[in-house]
Amino acid sequence: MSGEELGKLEKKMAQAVALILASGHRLPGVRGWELRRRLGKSFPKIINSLDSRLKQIGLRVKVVPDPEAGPEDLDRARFYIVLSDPLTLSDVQTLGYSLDELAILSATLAYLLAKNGSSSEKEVVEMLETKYPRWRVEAALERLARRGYLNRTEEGVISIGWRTLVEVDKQELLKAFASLSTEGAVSQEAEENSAEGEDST
Amino acid sequence: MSRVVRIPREELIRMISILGEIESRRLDPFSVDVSSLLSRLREIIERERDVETISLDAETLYRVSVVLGLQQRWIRERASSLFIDAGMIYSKIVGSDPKSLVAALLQAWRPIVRLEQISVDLLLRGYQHFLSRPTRGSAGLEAVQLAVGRPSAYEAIESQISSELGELLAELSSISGWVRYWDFVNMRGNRKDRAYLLSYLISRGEVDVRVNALSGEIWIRSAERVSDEPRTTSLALTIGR
Repeated sequence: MSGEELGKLEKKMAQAVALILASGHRLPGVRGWELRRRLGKSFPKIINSLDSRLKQIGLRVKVVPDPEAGPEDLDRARFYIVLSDPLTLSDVQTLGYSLDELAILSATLAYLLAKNGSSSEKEVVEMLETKYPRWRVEAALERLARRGYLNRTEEGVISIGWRTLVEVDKQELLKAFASLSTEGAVSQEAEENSAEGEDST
Repeated sequence: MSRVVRIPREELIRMISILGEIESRRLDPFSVDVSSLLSRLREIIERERDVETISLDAETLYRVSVVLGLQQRWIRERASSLFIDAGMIYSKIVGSDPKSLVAALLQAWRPIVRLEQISVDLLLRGYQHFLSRPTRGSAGLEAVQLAVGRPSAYEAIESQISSELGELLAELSSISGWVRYWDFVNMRGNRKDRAYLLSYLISRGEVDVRVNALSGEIWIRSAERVSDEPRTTSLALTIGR
């Protein structure tokens, strides 16, 4: 690749990052057709190059197909930039969520995913009430629904929201829950990872 | 004879309701036995061939096809969720401390990265757009400069609006009883101004409003007592009528 071509690619990647990160929509991310309009028809190649570059700093491009279109339809898919590596427990403090809220999110998502994505809200609240008082559970569910992690309907059904589909690896979460055999085993492991991370920095 | 027709009809309506519930409330699509339901549908359609039964039968068949689609999706999603049972997840949740639950989430969670503040590029684009806008008329500009130069300009406008509101309320009070909204608005002067000022008086509770839901007529009168209770309803009216 010549210096000029490389320069063009760099410029296009910068445009792609600006489009994806600073989209003016209510929802984050950008549709494929918007990228095509700005970057041209070779936008999937530019996104691939951007993905390789982002991986060097712990980020990656995530493509979420439109549920009504197929995975092949990149124009209707939504493009996001997400973290590429798992967070550690020590990172939680900077996320803007309390440990209890994240525990409620974790338990709710695992339960919903095991029930194919939705359940009655009453059932979920009763399950969470084994750990937290009702007011705490309802406040957390409300906030998580506002953030897009959960959907609540007037019929009293709770289901996984758009943000969960983007941010959470369903199989990974269920595997993590399946390995929760001994109390605190996963948290110890995460703490160890966290300590290793801190040592290496 | 009429009773014989009514029973299959009620049965079909019940079937439609159950199938609709499964779809809308996202219940387990396998909670209904589709094959026995289809056999029953066949029995009904062979016995009753009136238009209403046929249309209800078609509606039920459509609902059955939706539930079949849900069953297919259910199996696909169960396979992708590694056939992990909700009961098992429940027991894990009950037996784990919050920290372990969070640690499990962190293994699968990759938050979205998003820029929420303005960037230099966006600021420059905004500035260029501002410069590209045509300059408004000099009269408008002078008025703006005048208002900026005079700190009391705002107070003057406010007192003018207050006096106009007072005049309008006095005019309404002079009319005894209820008066048609449109008659009052069109009575004199600029009707847009009158409607605008009237909306303030209504919001402040100084004017009572009554709407006849059947005829669509709107009646107003000067309130006998200003209520402190907040207004819980709103009424949108098109002035260009």
